[in-house]
Amino acid sequence: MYKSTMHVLHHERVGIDTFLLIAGAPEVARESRPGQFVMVRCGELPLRRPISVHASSEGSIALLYRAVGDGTTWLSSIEQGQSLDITGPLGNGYSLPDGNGRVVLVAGGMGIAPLCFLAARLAASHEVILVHGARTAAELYEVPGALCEMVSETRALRGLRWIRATDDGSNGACGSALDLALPHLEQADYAYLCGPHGMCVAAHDRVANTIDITRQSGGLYCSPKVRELLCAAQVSLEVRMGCGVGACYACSIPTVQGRRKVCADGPVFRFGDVLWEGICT
Amino acid sequence: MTLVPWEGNEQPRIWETDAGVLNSIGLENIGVAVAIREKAPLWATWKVPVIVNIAGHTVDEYIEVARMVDPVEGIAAIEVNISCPNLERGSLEFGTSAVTAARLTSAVRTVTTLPLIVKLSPNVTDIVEIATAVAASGADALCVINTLRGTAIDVERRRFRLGRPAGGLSGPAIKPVALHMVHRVAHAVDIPVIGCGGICRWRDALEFIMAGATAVQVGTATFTDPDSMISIIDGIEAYVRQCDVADLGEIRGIL
Repeated sequence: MYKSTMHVLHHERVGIDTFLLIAGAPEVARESRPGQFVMVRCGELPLRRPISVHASSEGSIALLYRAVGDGTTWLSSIEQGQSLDITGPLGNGYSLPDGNGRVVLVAGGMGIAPLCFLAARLAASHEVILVHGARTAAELYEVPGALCEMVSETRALRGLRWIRATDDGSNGACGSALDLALPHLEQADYAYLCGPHGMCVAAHDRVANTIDITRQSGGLYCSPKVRELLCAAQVSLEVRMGCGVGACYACSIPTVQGRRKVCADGPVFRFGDVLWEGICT
Repeated sequence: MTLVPWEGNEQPRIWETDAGVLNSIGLENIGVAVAIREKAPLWATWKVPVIVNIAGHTVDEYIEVARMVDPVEGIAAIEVNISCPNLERGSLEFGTSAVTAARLTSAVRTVTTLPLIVKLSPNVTDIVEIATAVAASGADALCVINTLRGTAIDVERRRFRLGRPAGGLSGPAIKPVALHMVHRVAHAVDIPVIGCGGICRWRDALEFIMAGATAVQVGTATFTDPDSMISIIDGIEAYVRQCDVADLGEIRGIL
């Protein structure tokens, strides 16, 4: 973990309230693994903001974030040439799958940010299917040209199989990322998830088989194979954090192994280990 | 740390306010036995003294924890938490009455020879009354203050921001309150006062020292900047050199 100053090389709006920030941070870039995050100091605000690493190579890291509160809104006003105070990389990151095989990544909303990093890293060795769901077309993510130019590893993202879905059907299929991912999960060797709490709870309902059995014909049935795959899937969590390094216990969540800190023990957990009903957002 | 592991409170546990942080952690910790077994050997190798903060639901729990940590190598002092605002029972209950605060201090004093610090709550009618009672009951030092009780509400979702209605407010927002209380307490007791509450910069620390603090604690500022304590120490050193202060005692409690 480094505390460093990163120099903003590129910052653009890539969606309604979504921004791509590419910055020079050689030490952090060298050590970042998919699933890890950095804590960004936002002006004089007391708490740093945890933002997952979206891509990393050649001495630069990319952050993809949505400006939703005081911190990220402040961040969105930063211009190329300015500097940011960051600490990172933090957290455990995803375990990469062994050998080769088919990997399905299920991203809800901004969950696409860390999963793109993972997808780019697996592109050469695995068959990767990236399923991205958003509320509406404007929130879907197209890999920006600047990202491919400045962080070469991300060029591989454009060659991957993307499946896009929107809640309102304004682009791609109408439905959730999870719904669309299910048939692909039947054929998959590994699964990774990152998305809003609702998506994880929906996946948990399938795993726990708590859904109304009469709705099976409506597509909510989950086969034993998918249930097993989802249980073993790696999921990246987002909860409100304080310190980012395991000191304050603000982000502690219940798991089958007991309390775990999202910042230091996670943010990546085995899906079946998280006690989802004990997490509120 | 507590006698047995504590799970802490429900999520969300933290919310940023204007110049402050509200928390509702609920003293989640691994329990005294595991801490002694797994953490203290590491603390013993550090060049800095480690002070453990202890809490409980009953006087007996405080006594037992103090008794267990007393002989442990790697633990330099005990801070008794009678001021955590995030518990349904225990801790703050002891800190809101001079009689119970004094009784708890005396009880812990009987089982340990380690330096005994008692951390006081600002959520009281008269902190000086409690401070003097605790000082008279065997405390070696006081820590002033713990967090102020506070609430934040999400008007869109019509819910509390934290998992519970109230949490503890820390950070720059509480500094004037903390400074006032340190000033009053430091002039009322004969034992050292550790100043705490919203200290971010070296000037803040010097304000507390001039108000009567012998030492200071820094918490929330380390979230903003992990190097803040180093910056504060460097700033104080530069100040005393520049102003020809031979010993901080020269400026301690001058106001």
